[in-house]
Amino acid sequence: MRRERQVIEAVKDVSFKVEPGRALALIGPNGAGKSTMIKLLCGILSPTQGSIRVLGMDPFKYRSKLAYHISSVFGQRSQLWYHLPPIDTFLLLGRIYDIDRVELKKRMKELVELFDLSSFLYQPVRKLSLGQRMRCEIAAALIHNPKILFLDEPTIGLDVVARSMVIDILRDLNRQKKVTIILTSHDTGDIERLCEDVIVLNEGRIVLESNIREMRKNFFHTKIIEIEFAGQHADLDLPPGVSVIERSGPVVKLEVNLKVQDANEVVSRIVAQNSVRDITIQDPPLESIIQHIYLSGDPAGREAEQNAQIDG
Amino acid sequence: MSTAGKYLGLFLGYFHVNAKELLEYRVSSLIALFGSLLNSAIWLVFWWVFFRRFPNISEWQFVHLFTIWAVLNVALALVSVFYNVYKVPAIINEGKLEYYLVRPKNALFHLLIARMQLIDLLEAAIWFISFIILKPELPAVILFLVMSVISAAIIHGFLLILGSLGFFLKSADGIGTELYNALITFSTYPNWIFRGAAKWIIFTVIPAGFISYVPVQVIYNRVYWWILGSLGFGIFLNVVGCLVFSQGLKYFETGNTFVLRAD
Repeated sequence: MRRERQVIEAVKDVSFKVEPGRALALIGPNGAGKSTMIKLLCGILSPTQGSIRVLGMDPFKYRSKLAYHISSVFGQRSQLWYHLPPIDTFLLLGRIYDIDRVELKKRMKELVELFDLSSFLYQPVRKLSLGQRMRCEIAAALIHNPKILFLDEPTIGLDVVARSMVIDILRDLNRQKKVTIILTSHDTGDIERLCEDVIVLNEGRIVLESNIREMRKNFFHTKIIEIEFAGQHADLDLPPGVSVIERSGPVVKLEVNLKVQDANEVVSRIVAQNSVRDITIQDPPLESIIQHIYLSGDPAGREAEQNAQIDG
Repeated sequence: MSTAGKYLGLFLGYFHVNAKELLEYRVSSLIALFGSLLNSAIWLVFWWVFFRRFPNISEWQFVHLFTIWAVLNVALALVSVFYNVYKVPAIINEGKLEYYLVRPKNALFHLLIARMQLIDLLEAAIWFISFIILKPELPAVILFLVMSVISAAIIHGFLLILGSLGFFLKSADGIGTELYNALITFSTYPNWIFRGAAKWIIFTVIPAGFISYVPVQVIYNRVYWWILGSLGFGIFLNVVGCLVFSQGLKYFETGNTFVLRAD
C-alpha cells in the first residue's frame, strides 16, 4: 500500500477588482472556493502564488492593521456571547477595536437606532429570535465602522420579514454609507436586491464576472409569457420554440426560446387569435440562470458572448 | 493609550464578560466547585491516614503533601484564567482560530484570555486560606504565592507547547491530554518515589518536579535558588510555546467553517 499525495488548488487563476462602495456577490456551488476567497481577502490564508491587495494592503502581511477596516458576518456562526445581552458583546468589541468610550457610545446609539435593537439590547442572546440575533450580529460587525463588510449567507434560516429587513439595512449601508459589501449566498433573491456585481466561481476558477443586470441580459435564453384568456380558448397554435409550461383554468404559462422565436411576435399572434384579459412577460428567475452557468462551467463566458450577439 | 494599556483593557473586558457569564451559571459552577473540593478532601484523607501510620518517610510529612496539593490547585486556578490553553488543538483544528486572526489583537494572547474559568479562583482562595491556617508565617505565605504563580507558568507553558503541536499533528488533543494527565499525576505524589531516570523525566519532559518537589524545597527548606531555576524554566516553556504557535500559524490550513464566536 502506498500513500499518494495530491495537491488540490482551492482557488486558481483568479483575478478581479472591486471598486470602493460596490456590492459584489460571490456565488458558486459548494466547494467552488468562495470561503477560501474570503479567507484570502481577510488575510487568514496566504496565496501560494499571486498577490492580493485589500485597501492597498497585503492582507496576510498586514492582517492586524487591516482588521480595523474590515468586518465579517457569517450566518451560521455567531460572535455574540450566547448567555449575555448583546450590549456586553458590543462593549467587548469596543475594547477589541480600541474604540474610546465616547466614540463607542455614539456608535452604539447609531447602530441601535439603525437596527432597531433597543427593545432587546439587554436581553440574553439565547432568548432572541433568529432575526433579532442576526440584526445584532450585523450591528456588532459594524461597531468599528469598517470600510469592507464580508457576509457569508447572512440571511440563512431567516423568515421573509427578517430577511427583508436585513437585506434592506445592508443595502442602505452600501448605498448611503458606501460600505463595500462582499456577499456569498445561495439565495438569488438576496443577491439581486443587494448586489450590483457578481462573480461566479466553480472549482476554484472564475466562471463569470459581470454586472448582475448584464448577466441577466446575456444569459437570457427564454422569456415566460403568462396569459389570462377572457373565455374559452381553442387549442393554441404555438410556433416553434414556444411551449406550455403550466395551465390552470384560463391562465396559461408559456416559455419562449429567444434563440428561435421573438417574444413580441408570439404575443401578437396569440392576441390576434384569442380574446385575452391579461398578459405579462417575465424574465426567468436568476436562479435558473445561475444553475445554467454552474452546469455549463467554462463555456459560460462564450455562451454569454454568443447570446449578446444574438441580442444585439 | 499605550499598547500594554490596550491589552490590559482587553483582558479586563474579557474578565468582565466571563464573570458575568459565570453568574449566569452560578449554581452549576458551585456544584462543580463542591465536587472538586470533595475530591481533594478524599485525597487528603488518604494521605492523612497514611502518614498517621508512617509519620515521616524520607523527611516527608503530611504537611508537605498538603502543600504540594495546595500549590497545584492554586496554580491550576491561575491557569484557568487562560482557560483556552487547554483547548488550543481544538481551536486550531476546528477552524475557530479564524475568529482571532481577523481581529486586530495578537491572536495567541486574544485566544488565551477569551475563555476564563473564574470559579476556579474561588477554589484557589480556599486552598490559599487553608495553607495560611496550616502555616501562619508571612515568609511561608509569600513563598507559597510565588511558587504557585511559577507553577502556573510552567503548567501554562507545557500546555501551550502541547496545544500548538496541533498545527503539525492533526490529533494533538490525544497526546496532549495524556501528557497533561501525566504531569498532574506526577505532581501529586511525594517525590521520594521518583529515582534515577524517573527523576530526570519529572524535571524535563514532564516537569512535575517543578510543581511538587521545588515548592516544598523553597517553602520549607528555603532553597531560594530553586525559585530562579523554576522561574527560568517557566519562562522558557512559555517562550517555546509562543514560538511553536507562531511557526505553526504558517502551516495553518483552516477548517471548513468560518467561525466567529470564541470558545
